[in-house]
Amino acid sequence: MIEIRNLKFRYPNSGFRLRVDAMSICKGERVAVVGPSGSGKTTLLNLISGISIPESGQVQVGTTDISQLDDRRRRDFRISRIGAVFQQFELVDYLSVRENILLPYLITNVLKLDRLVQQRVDELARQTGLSDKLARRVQLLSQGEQQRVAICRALLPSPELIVADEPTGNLDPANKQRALDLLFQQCQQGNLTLIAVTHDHSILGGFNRTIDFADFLDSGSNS
Amino acid sequence: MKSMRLAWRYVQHHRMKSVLMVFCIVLTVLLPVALGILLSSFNKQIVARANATPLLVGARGSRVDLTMHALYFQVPVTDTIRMGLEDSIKEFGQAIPIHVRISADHIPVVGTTLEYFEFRKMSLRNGDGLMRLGDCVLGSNVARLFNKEPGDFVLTDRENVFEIAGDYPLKMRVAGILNRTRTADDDAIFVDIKTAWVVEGFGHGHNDVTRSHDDNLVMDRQGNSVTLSPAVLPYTEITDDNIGSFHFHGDFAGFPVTSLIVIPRDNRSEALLQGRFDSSESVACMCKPIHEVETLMGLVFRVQKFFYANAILIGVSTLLLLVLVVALSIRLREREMQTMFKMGCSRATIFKLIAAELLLVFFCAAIVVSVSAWTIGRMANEIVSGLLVG
Repeated sequence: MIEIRNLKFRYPNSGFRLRVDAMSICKGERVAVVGPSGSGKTTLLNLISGISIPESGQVQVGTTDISQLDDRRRRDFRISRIGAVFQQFELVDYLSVRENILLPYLITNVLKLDRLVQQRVDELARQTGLSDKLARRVQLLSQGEQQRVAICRALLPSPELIVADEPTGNLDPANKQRALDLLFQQCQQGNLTLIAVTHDHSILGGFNRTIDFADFLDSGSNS
Repeated sequence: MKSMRLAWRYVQHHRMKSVLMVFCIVLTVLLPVALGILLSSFNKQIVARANATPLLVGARGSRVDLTMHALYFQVPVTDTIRMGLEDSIKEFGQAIPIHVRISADHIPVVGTTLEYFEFRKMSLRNGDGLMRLGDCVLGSNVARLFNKEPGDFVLTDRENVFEIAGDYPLKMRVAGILNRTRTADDDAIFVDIKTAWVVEGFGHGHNDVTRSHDDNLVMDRQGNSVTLSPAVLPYTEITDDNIGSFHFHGDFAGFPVTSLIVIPRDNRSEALLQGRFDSSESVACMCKPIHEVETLMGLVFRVQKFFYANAILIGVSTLLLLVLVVALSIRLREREMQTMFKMGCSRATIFKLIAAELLLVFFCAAIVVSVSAWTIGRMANEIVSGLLVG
């Protein structure tokens, strides 16, 4: 599903360097990425999502080598095939819950908003217990509910890959478990690949595999 | 369309900010627009009335004052001309007297002749024209303001309330109400010139006090000689019973008028008249209202240019403030935009979203400006009439 080879990346005007000689993640696999701050976990997610462009090497998601795509195609690829969940949820405060879930469809013409999509919003909301809150503004929701909205937003375009950056970082233990259960359940149902960056070692049990960037810092590369 | 939907939701959510932005734009744009509309209407009205009045004759002094006085009955005139001047004009055209020195409840009472109504193409909405001494006809606005109908009465204002021996106000019978003309005539009361002279004390009647039924008025009675208290007779009234006793002392030609509207027979007559009144020996002056109005409007339009220059500066500063507000708003929304970008939204789409928000604000402002301008345009005549007649 995801193949990374000879990946080299560095931020301009920064001493930070990331080198990944080889990494492979299978379809449907749930991978946790852990490691100290500044070790490049989020950078790796950005490279896989096509937000950042490597200096060299290959990042292949499915059959697409995203490092070879131009800007527009990379964006189109990202919005249609990758779902993103952020630590701060990053919901849009002036939109309702329904509109937040629909956001990927509202900011691009690649995804067509039709009745089926609206039905899928209803279905996701039902599955996540948000059915009666679809018309509400997101500010009025609890933290746990907001994270569920963010997960629904990531799942709506039926992506093949979910990237989550500290998805439980802002949640209390009960909501943390509920959000994880939801993510795992949805990934299992749709056979989605999940890559989650986390500092929380207590949630690692739910993942198939853990990649520890501390090892990478020791060896200088992650293979 | 999607950008517009998101933009609308943003504008709706931040309604206070949006309303303030709309308000700023509306104020900046509407003020010069409204001024332009009102000035245009003002110019149209004043020029139309001036154009419809070929020449004016009045006492020497400010010609602009004379024009505003004769056309709008507003500027008070202390110096008068003699009615007899009419005779010297007759061979060159028609002269219509205007006498505006009295008022009724601060509304100008215009003494004139029936030719004035014909000249201004005024017609009666109800009632009759000026039939006899002491009658008046009301302009449509005055009738509405006073809530008077034909048969009611209007009392002229007393010149000096402390002068008991002075002329008493005249209780005038409302003979008719004029149709609306949307000119200064709507805001005036018209009487026959002789009625105006009665109010000024050039004519009077003699009441038969021996037939008074109210004994309280009688101070002394000796046979046919009755002395009545003037303090309890607060006004003069011309009735069917006493009209026969009203008479004038002196020659009408020597009685005052404040101006004469002159309608010359032809261009030659006009030139001759102007030449006659142009001499330094002439006791009166003649002016062409349109020239005075054009001079006045020239000055107004020069002032308008300054106002427009000021409006442009205010517009620029408003625009800069809006740019600042938008720039700060973009900074505040950096995370939201970053999220959209991370999800796969292009920077062009984000730019489109902000542009759509601004477009909506400008669109709302344009609607408010259009509706307000349309309303002001509809009401311009009334507003300008109000300004012209005070």
